[in-house]
Amino acid sequence: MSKIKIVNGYKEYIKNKEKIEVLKNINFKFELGKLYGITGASGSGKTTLLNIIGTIDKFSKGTLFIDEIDISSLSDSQKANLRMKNIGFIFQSFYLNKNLTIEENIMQPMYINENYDKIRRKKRTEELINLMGLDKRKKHLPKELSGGEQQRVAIARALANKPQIILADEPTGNLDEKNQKNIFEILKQLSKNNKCVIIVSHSEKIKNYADIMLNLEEGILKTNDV
Amino acid sequence: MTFNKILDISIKRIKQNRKRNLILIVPLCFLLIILFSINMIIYSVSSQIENIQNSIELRTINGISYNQQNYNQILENLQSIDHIQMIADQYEQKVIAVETCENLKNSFTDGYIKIKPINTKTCPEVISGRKISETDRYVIILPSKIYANSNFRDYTNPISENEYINGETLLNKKISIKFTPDNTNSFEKEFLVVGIYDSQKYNNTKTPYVPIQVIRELNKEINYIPNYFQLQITVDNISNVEETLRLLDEKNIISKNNLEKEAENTLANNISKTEYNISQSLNLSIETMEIIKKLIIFLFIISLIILLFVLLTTNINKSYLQTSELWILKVEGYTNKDIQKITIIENIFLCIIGILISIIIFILLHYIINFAIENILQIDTLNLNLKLNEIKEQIYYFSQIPQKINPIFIIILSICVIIIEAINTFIINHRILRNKNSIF
Repeated sequence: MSKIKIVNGYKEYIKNKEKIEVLKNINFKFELGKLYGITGASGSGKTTLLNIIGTIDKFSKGTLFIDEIDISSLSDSQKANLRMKNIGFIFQSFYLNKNLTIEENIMQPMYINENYDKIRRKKRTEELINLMGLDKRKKHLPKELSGGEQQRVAIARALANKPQIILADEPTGNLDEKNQKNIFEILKQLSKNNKCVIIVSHSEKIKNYADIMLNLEEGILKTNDV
Repeated sequence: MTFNKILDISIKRIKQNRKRNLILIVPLCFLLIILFSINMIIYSVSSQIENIQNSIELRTINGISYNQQNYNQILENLQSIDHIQMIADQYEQKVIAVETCENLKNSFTDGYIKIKPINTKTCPEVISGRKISETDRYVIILPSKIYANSNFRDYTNPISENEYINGETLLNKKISIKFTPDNTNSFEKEFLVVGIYDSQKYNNTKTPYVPIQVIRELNKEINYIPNYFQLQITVDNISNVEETLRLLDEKNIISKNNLEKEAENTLANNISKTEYNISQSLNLSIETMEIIKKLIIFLFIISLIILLFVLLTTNINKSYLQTSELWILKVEGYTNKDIQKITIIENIFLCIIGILISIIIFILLHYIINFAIENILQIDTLNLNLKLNEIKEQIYYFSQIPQKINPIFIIILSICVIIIEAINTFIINHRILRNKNSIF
């Protein structure tokens, strides 16, 4: 059973009264346990596709299924609930709350999850801090961390509610070679732990880690052999 | 998401973003303090205008001469003028030349007072006890703060608080007043204190009021025969004094010219001229105060517009600074509604904090300024230069205006600030959450 299924996905924008087709006839299935790399030129619709999979945006035509559920049939609060429990986001610019410590940043998504009380939140945060090797940094503020460390915090935050889908938009865009490798390895490890990891990246290195490479060209999604 | 959860997250966010909160709180406090101050000036000036207009003594015109033949005719003419509230025989006041009261003395004062007669119509409003009635005889109405002293005081040597006696402490008690109509005669009478009037409202700390019938009886007791016949009238409102004088002139009862001509010859007309001039100058000062009030209202409106502008711009700044934070909340599973509620509650809390801080600072500033004024007035500038004395005089007159603030205004302004902030937050966040490019 596929985790994510896109059927005849089509997305268009109206900009200055002009219709822009961003995604055309997308048909694809994403499965658990695999790492997907999406490449494509700037403006090819990679981020739009990621937003749609993340239920932040929606297709103009076509259907997105997550766990066989038609997302368009869900209300805003149902989509928010699904996002909270099933999807973790990682961004190029990390978007950590600069006023919170590392520990508090990781804990933040668990505040609205009814499965986590105070004790379980604390325990889960400890687990993630250990997993990301941030034990000595947990009381630090984001500005006191290197880029690679900040991105590891962002990954820990994305994993807080134990989602099965990880969406990463240029996660290594702001990192040096060493940290790029480190982050890709972490994401690869996550996919091996039965998660569906989808990475949008310009980096050539993604090919070394992806199970399936996808290329978006003028709105059309093509599968590349790895 | 439950309200408690939203409230909890909002409070957490306030604690986490202390520096960002200042973007909203600091300009808000600054403008609110300005608005509170302007409102205090407007309200104080308005109250002072009202006080002056209500003051009995400043609405009194003396020296309306009559003789036994034309008395009824003059009385009829006076009664036909709408603005005249009270007509009294002026001679009746002559008995009360010098009065002292042992009960109103303290270690700083000699008990000298200036009693004035009233009837039921001219009795001032009381804040404690009751007004006089037709049947009352030896009763007295006292000011709430009494300065019973023969020593004349002005801005060069203002009265200190410990020189006053609290009128309320004498309510329902008997006080003894010693009358000295001339050098050889003196006698004492007991009066029951039945009412207390607001000395600040009437701008009077020196005048106790007794029923006019008592003065008549006292005149008889000392066999006082008045040597002139004049009437005294009280106008209903100080702004009608000018109009009343015109009507008196029209009816050939009194005219400014006659009054001024006769003023040189008779004591009574000297009094009337002085009283009239006080009324006239007060009318002028009311006009000045009205102009000041209008100017301040204009300033107030400008400040309100600035407040609105500042509220909008600071909120826009603050909201755009937290764009990524709002989007992170969204991707973490918060709905747009939840995010709106969290940020609106957060900003409402910040507004409430800002309003409370403004009120505290405003009260502190108010005390500091009053303390400074009191100290400036204590400085002996008589031996210094004229300019300093003029400044001191102006400060003294300014300090004589009772400072008041309208609490309803503060409540309404605070509610408006909170509503504007909530609507503004909603609109800005709606735009931020709609624009996906702001984070992705």
